Amino acid sequence: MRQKTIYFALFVLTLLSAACHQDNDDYMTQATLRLDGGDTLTIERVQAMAHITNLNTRHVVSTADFTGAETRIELLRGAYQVHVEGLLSYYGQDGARRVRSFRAVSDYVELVGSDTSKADLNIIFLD
Amino acid sequence: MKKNLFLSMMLLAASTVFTACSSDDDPFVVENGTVTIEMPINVSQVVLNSFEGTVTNVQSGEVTRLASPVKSGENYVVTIPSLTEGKYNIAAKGNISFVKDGVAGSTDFEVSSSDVALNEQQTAVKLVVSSFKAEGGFVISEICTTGTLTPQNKNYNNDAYFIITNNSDVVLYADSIVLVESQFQSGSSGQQPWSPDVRPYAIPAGAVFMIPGNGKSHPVQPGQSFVIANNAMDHRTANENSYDLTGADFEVYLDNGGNSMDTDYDTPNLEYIWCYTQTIWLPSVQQNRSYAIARMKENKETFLANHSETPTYTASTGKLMESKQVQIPNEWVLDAVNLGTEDDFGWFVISETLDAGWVAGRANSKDTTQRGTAVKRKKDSAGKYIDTNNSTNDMEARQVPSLKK
Amino acid sequence: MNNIIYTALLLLGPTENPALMTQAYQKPFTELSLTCDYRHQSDAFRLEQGTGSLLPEVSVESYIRLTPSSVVWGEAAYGNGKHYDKRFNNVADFDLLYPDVIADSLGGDTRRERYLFSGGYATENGDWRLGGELKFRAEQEYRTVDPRMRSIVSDLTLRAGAGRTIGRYLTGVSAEGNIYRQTADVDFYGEANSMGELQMTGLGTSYVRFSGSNRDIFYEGKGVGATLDVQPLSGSGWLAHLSHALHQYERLSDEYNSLPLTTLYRQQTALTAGYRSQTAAGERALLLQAAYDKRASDEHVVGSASGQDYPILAHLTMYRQQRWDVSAAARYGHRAWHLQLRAGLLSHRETYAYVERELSYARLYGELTAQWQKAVGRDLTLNVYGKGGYAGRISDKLLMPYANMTASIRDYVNHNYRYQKASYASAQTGVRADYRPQSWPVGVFGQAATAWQFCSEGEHEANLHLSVGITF
Repeated sequence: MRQKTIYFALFVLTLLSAACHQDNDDYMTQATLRLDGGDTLTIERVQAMAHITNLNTRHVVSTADFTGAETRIELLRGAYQVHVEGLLSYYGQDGARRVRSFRAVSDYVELVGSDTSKADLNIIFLD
Repeated sequence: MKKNLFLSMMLLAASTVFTACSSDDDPFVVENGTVTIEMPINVSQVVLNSFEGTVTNVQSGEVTRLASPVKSGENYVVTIPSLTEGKYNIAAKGNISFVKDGVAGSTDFEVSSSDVALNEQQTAVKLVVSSFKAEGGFVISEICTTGTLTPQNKNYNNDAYFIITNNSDVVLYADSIVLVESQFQSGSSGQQPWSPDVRPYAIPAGAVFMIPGNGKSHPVQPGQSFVIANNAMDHRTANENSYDLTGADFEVYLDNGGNSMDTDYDTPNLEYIWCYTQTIWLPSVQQNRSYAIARMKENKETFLANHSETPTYTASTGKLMESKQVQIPNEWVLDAVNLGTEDDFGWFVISETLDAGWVAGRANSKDTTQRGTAVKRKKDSAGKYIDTNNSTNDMEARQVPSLKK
Repeated sequence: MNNIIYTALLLLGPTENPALMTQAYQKPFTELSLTCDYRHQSDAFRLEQGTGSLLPEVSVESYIRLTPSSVVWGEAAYGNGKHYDKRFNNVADFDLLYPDVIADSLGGDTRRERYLFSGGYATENGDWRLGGELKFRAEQEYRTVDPRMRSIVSDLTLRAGAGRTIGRYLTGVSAEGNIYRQTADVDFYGEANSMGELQMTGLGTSYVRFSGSNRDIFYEGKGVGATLDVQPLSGSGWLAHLSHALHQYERLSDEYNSLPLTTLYRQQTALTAGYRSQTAAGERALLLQAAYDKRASDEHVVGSASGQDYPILAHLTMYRQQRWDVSAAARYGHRAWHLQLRAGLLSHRETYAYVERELSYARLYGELTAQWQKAVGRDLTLNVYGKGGYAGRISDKLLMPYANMTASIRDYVNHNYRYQKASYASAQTGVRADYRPQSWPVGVFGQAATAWQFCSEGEHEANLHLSVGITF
């Protein structure tokens, strides 16, 4: 009788622990932001600061590490506003190399992939 | 038995004390971390004049001042003394001088980076100074060469002036800027088959006057202008409908080797590089020549030696016509404006790449109503001058001269 | 109150299993009482809970034996009181809902009105016992000056339990379900007073995007729980009580089309085990108690609205709190006297995932309680008790991204932390007198108790409890 009671108690316990809430702790995503100048130009080098603001917390993360036209940064998963401004050197369709000021802004970018996420930003030239 | 039970229970409770405590590892200290201040790639000869930088530890709020950066290649590098690993907010501001497109300039900068990680894996941080715009540069914002009418309706032509404005966001230096008048006039009668046709690579110039200086003598703040007057006097004493040009920053003076017919007023003189006349220079009252500003890249002697071609053509009479002139290379040109007569615009006297359009200064060759007006550059909603290299869009004729009081 | 104090020492605290209520009290009773509780802290130990309260209440409690094998019990209460200087907390039931509250730095005094109803029935049949209980609480908390908060709570709990006599022991299991609702609004009548309301998300963080003019929220909560009990029927034997409850409270915004901002998940598990030895003269008991309280707050990451619909992009458990309270108690009772010595460890840890924040502390505590209960003459019963204890800090840690915090949040977190990591000395005493002459149809009682806490930071807390009433 005592054994039965103990088994029953254990059974109830397992049931209860299984119903516990699973924490969602995949917080971060490796975000790749790519500057898109269109098909007509090949970006050689980007010299710019990127300021990435989380739309929900308004926390800002900055980076100046661009590899070609991309920058990679670890962010909290969420929706962001991205502001990139600086200079870039590129090769136009005629093969000529030019250096121009640019700005690439997006007011809403979703970076919620569990491992990686990416976004493309359109370039507008300032000069 | 009860005593043992009690004891064992207390021991059980006591043991949880020790398991609950956790020890923290000592945080890693980043030695000789670096902050690289990267200078913009579209300017050259960058010099960091002043610098103030801080790193703020996000957790403790502790602020550490950065030492003065040391030049390393094109950029500047600051070495940070030991810092505990963690996340940092970095801010830097200062002043740099640079040369862009031949024009010297200087600007303040302010740059920041938030939530940057400094730890065992990442000991180097980069800040990029490129957010200022050295674009725009100098533009011709006003050309007033129409002269004025006296109260007796007589022509008065001595009061020509030009206004040049720094249309960028940075301090630029006016040293070595030249005011250029085209050799040719844009009416159809002026068009001749000159050979060589220098326009694709240079401006055929009839008058070239240069702002003197050592490179830093004449700073112009963003949005500020300077006035070049032909004669920097108060013309209202001679013609009450004219302007007071005693406030001009520079004037044109032809000293003709000491035998001048021009009057030298108190205002600093532009340096004479070349002019078609040795006596008195009169900018185009008919408003059919082109004007430009350019940055002189050689000294006077070298320039005259290298850029003094004389195009020729054979007239229908058989005579060889010569055009004594100098050429200003198109790459040196900062801004150019074509002027023409509305009913008689024959040809572009300078390359169309410098100015794709033209402003109608007067309606026809008999028109005198343009006297006492100026050609002005339009401004956009932000207060900047519009410069699309097309005067048809960018400039407006028959405006009230800004120096008219 | 008298019965509750007594049985609290004798058993394991108020029993949660309605089926076990058949033997809860030796005699049936009905008690009508008027109580007043007063608390005052010289400096708020926790800013959200204010510096004190004055809570008068009128209540009636009854335990009636319908038949030898069935009982029915019930309680109804109405209270109307005041809380003083609550800041960073504009909701009722802060203890239930933190950290997911709506808050501002101004706060102020609040008025609280509460209605309580509960009733239950239990019956025995041979070895088996069955019982059911219903509890309902309606509460309103509001402020009459800007910022005018107003919270309306309704809290319903249903419990069902079963028990069985097995040998010398009584075993019981019970289950409960809970539905909870609260609407919380903050208004400003004076236009110049208007300030932004923060949707707090833990350790000083707030959901910035939906903070500010978003002032109307409501909570939807539900929960389940279960208990397991083992008690000796009489005399000596082993005791065990295990309870496990899971609750969740979702915070939704009225102004954003019932958008769920956060969901709070709460798990409470408690285990008491020990051995009790009872004789005619008195009793002895040794108990080991462990309680685990875990909170996790999920933030719903909201995307860009299309029309009135806000998509939820992800759920992230940003805030976590884990609290352990492990203690051992030894009891000794002889005739009118009862003594209890208790020592334990309290460990508390709160974390916020990104940007990383942490607050943790641990205290080692000990307390000694003495109670004397005796009939004096035929008509008067006296119950006197006293308690003294000390909780000493053994570890503490605070990790905050101070550079990103505003001054008012920084002060708020530091203020609470100062008291959370402190050490406390406490002293309590009380007396209850029940007077019922044979000729009277009813008896009267009066109770006075006071409790004090002295903080190592130099501040203190004073509590006063007064109640009078009639029993029959």
